[in-house]
Amino acid sequence: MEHAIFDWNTEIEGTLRAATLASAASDAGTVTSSDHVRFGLHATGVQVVDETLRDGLQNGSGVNPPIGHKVDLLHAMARIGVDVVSVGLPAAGARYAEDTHHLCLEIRDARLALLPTAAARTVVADVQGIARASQRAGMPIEVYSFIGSSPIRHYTEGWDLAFLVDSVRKSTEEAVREGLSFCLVTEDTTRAHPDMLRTLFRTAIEAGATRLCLCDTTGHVTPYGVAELIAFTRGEIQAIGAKGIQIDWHAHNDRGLSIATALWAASVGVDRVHGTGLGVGERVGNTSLELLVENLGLLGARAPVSRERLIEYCELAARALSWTIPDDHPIAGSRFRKEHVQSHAYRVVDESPSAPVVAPTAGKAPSDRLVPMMLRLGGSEVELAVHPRRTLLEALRYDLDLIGTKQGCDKGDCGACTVVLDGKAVLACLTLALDADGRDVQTVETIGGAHLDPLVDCFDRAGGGQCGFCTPGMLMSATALLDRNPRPTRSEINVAISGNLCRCTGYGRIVDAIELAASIRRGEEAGSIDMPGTECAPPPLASNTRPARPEKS
Amino acid sequence: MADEVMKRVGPPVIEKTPGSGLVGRRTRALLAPRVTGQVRYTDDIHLPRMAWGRLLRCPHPHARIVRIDASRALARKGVLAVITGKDMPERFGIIPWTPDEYPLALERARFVGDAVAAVAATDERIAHEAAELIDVEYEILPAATDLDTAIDAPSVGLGRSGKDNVSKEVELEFGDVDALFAASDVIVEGNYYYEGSAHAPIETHCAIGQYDKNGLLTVWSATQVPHYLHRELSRVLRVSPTRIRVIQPPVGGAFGGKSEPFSLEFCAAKLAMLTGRPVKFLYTREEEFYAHRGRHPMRMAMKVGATRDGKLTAVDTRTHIDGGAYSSFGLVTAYYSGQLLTLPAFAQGYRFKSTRYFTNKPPCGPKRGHGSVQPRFAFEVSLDKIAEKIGMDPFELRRRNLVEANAQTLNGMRVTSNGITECLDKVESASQWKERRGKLPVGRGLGVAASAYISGTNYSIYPNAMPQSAVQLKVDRSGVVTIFSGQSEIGQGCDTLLAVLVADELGLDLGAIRVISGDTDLTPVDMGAYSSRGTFMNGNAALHAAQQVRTKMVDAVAEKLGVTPGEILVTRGALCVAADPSRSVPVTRAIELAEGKFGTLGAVGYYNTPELGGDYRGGTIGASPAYSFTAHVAEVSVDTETGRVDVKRIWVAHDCGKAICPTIVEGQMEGSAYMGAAEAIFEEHVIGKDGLHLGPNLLDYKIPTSLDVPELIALLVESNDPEGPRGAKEAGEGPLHPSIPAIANAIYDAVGVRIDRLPFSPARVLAALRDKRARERPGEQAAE
Repeated sequence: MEHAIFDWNTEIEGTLRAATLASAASDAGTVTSSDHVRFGLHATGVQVVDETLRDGLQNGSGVNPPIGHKVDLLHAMARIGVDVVSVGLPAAGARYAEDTHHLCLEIRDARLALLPTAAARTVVADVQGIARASQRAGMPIEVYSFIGSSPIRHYTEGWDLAFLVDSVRKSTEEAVREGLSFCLVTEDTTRAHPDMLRTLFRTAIEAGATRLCLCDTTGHVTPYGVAELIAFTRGEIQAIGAKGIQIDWHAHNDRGLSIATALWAASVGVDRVHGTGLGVGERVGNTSLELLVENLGLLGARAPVSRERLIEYCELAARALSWTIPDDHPIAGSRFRKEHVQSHAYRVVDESPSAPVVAPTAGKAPSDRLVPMMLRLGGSEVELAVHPRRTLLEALRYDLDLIGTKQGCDKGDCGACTVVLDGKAVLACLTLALDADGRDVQTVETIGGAHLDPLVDCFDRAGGGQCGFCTPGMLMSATALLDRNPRPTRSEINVAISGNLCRCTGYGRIVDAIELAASIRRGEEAGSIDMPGTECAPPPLASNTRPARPEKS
Repeated sequence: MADEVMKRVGPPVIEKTPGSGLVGRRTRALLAPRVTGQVRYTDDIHLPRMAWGRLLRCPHPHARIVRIDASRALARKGVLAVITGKDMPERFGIIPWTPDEYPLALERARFVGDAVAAVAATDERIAHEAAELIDVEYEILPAATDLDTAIDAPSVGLGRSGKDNVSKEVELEFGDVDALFAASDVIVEGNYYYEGSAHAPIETHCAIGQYDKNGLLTVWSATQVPHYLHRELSRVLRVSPTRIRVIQPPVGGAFGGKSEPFSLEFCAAKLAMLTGRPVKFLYTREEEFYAHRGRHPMRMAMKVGATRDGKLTAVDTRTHIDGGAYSSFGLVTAYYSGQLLTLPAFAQGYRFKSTRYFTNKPPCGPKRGHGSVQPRFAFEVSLDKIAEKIGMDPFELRRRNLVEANAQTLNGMRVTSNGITECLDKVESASQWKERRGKLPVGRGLGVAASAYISGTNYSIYPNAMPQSAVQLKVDRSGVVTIFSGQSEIGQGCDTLLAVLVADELGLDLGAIRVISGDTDLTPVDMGAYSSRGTFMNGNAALHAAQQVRTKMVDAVAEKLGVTPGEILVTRGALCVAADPSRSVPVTRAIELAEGKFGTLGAVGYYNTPELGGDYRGGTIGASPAYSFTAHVAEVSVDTETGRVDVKRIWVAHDCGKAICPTIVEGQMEGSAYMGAAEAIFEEHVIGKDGLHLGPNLLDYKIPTSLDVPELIALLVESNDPEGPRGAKEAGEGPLHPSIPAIANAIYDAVGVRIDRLPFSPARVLAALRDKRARERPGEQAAE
């Protein structure tokens, strides 16, 4: 063995590059020149292959998701415009074969615009497994047949050239015989010797393969190497003289470059790029499919996809793979979801050449634009539009006229603006309105619904309020407390309201009121006693009190 | 019909006191609209096309305004108008003899935070940004940012003459002080210092001006004195008072901090007149600290003499008061710092000299217990020192020197009801003073203090013969009685008090009463919510009105039942024959009968104080139709390692005359005691040399949270004042006074140190403990 690997990033065959890049760009050799890398030159129309349900399952968790989760994800794929989906490796076992079958039926019955592919080892039996699945579902399934192509792999497996050529030929011929499209997937392509690749490509194409999938199986390649490899492959196809042979790009993320190499591959003209949901896969994972779709959309290579759909896709992928979406995930991370909503206008105007450029309104910075949002206020949905910098306090008071929530300091010191957000007492002056988008908000106006909430009533009975200005905030802190702890001690109450400053009462009667309300809520004491009454109400009219005259029988 | 009502209500309950039996009952506070967040405070009012105002404030403690250039601000999109001092060159001030403020400083800005220009803009943010774009050229002047400089550098010239910094000087002497000191067995002298504190209401100042096309100016303001605001707006803006309406929405806490006109009210009105749009100003929390009018810093040198048997002989005090930049109520403050000390326990001779100085600091004014909280601290600590020296229980020392009921004080104040003895008894037994004092572990201590305070004052700010308080009643045939009151509800509960008094008088339930207050178009003139005058004056005015309606109802019912009016008893829900309660008329029917007999029902009630006060200059200041009395026992625990003082409990006994609404009275007592305790332990309104507030926010200026408050035990004492409404006196300010000295005396009891400077912060306590150790064991000093 001369070399364990062939490094496409450095070992350049200048003649190859010069010859093949000439067809793709005006001047070869300047891979980094802006002319050459201008996106869209070759990327327009690039297809996206979703490998989540095949390669994504190779992740460390070892989870094979229930079929329902797979089906939901399949639908989400269709909604974000995935073209091709891997429905698994049916030869891996009965369960996998069943799932493959089920997914195919779903694609067929739900008329999803997805083209199914399945993976196979480059052995006749695996190809036959796909053929059976195809016949059973009554739809074509493209065969993606894997074979190791790098020297180190051959050394490890003990394969020789003759064995490889034989396997490729037989598998290809089997697929062709079954009427299935065949793609040769050369594993570890980015570390394979050009001579080996040349032989495998030629074998497959001559046997009837219609597609070559180049793999950066170890996440090894740089954008430079991508260009080299694709130029080489395109040159080989030309040399064979075959027509209509397409190229796929499949990459892993070991160096953190997978999204970059995938975009690069699309830029220099591959036909399909692969990815998995959230980039989940073997070791550090694959190209992140949602980022791929988002970037191709922003770059104008594909139709843009709404962020809501991408987030939904991410959530379903996370569920299927038992994965947690990291906080800093650029699309679905909890930290960035809101920021994206807030900078939405900004993003559309400045980043997406595909969207029509909107001239900003005279004199208004982008942040002055109103952003639509929704609050669940006491159970009903309230729609409003706010400036991104509007606080929840301002939105409640100025936009919705819910003036029960008070402003005492506007900097988080006094607690007068306390509201309950998703069950937790928060300061509305320190919460951006958009942070509350779609969330459940309780204010002093919503508690108790149409009735006087026992808590409010007790503040009146016990003298828990004087000027009343801190009271709504107190009530909300107390509401959050009683909702999570129906039997608080006095010291727990004191802690719960310690963020609410009261200048009138000395707090004792506030604690009394909350204690009393807690016992009323628990049904241990009567509520609403001594309310201003109906003592002076006039008696009912005589005609109403007289019993109805009995009808004659 | 009447019978059917009676069947449901049941027979009337005959009580000894006629009326519906609401007075003194623990009813709910009827705060419902406030606590449900449904009433609109000033900042909750949004008007169509409303613009936002913002003041530009001077960044220097003392400066001459050379030039103001607003062109950059006016060029800002959204800016509607900018005004400066020249737009309203008229002085104002709450005391008619000392008007010294301009809505916007005219020539000189006298403190960091003095308003020099105001802007109106289409939204709040633009207004704030535009204010920063107003260019002001200042000539920096020498400043006095502390009391010593104000005393030592008269050349700063902040006083009226420009030759000194004096705001007001008061000197009074009663009895032969020097001879009494000479005859004393023991004399204690001390120097006491109070740094100043802020009101810090949770609602900051807010005002809205609206000027309609008919030329009617409406100003909504979070104020305690709508009537004075009405007068001053008219004078400063030169608009006829007939074209001005002042509305005081519910106020979110005031404590004296909103009891005079402020820049924002004039500027909101002026800008509304200029722009034709409503203009709102809302002070930020920082501005609230600079607008201030908080408790004065005071330096008090006090000398108190006594005989061996515990008879106080004479008191001599020299007080220096740091007034801040303007007069405010300062004239009164200077008097109150001496005049209000002569109750409940006092000496036979008294001399006090108080000088209020101007300094280049935020102006001080009245805070709950105006002018008398600081000297009360000095005096009650002095008593504790005397008691120790002569080996007498501090309770006993006070008891031996009490001013009696129906007596006159040394400085000529008339005392009527006086419940101080019962107050002392109650806190003594509730705190188990006799059993526990002196037997507590080290670091624990008990302290006592007592005080008295005015229930309104006959000093009506501008001299006139008209009523100080008035109420109108409108009686509806449905049984609803609407009370129109000029008094300002600021959370102290005066609306509820009126409702209870009127309902009780007329046999109605609280649900039948509406109270409309604080609107110069709707309500009769009342001086406002200050000097603890609400219960006594406004309550009497309401009773006066209700009694007129009641007389008509009784007459009409007597005629109907064929008895004399004297035989009719008003009970809850019905008027009946006292001797035969089965013969009765429901109260709503009684209203109809009275209306039929006398015509549409309604009444006007009012109150004026009798002639009061000593026969000397200043003798009316401090004169009140009644005095409330308070005694506190505080229990503290002092951590000798950290110097932290933890106030565990305060027993507060207060003679409020009669608790018309006990829940509210207790709330006032607890709130007062808590505020006093906070001044003792935490609060310090410190202005640095540069004139800047050290922490103008609620994080740095620490008001207590629920975790910092002592347990407060309110003990009601009722002395039934002969002139108070149903016997009632004030409860809102008096109970604050003894907090600080009771805590100070408790600290001494706990760890044996006197700290004569407020607040009792850990650093001061530790320093005092270190000094004490050094004194007791001088040899160890080097080791430290």
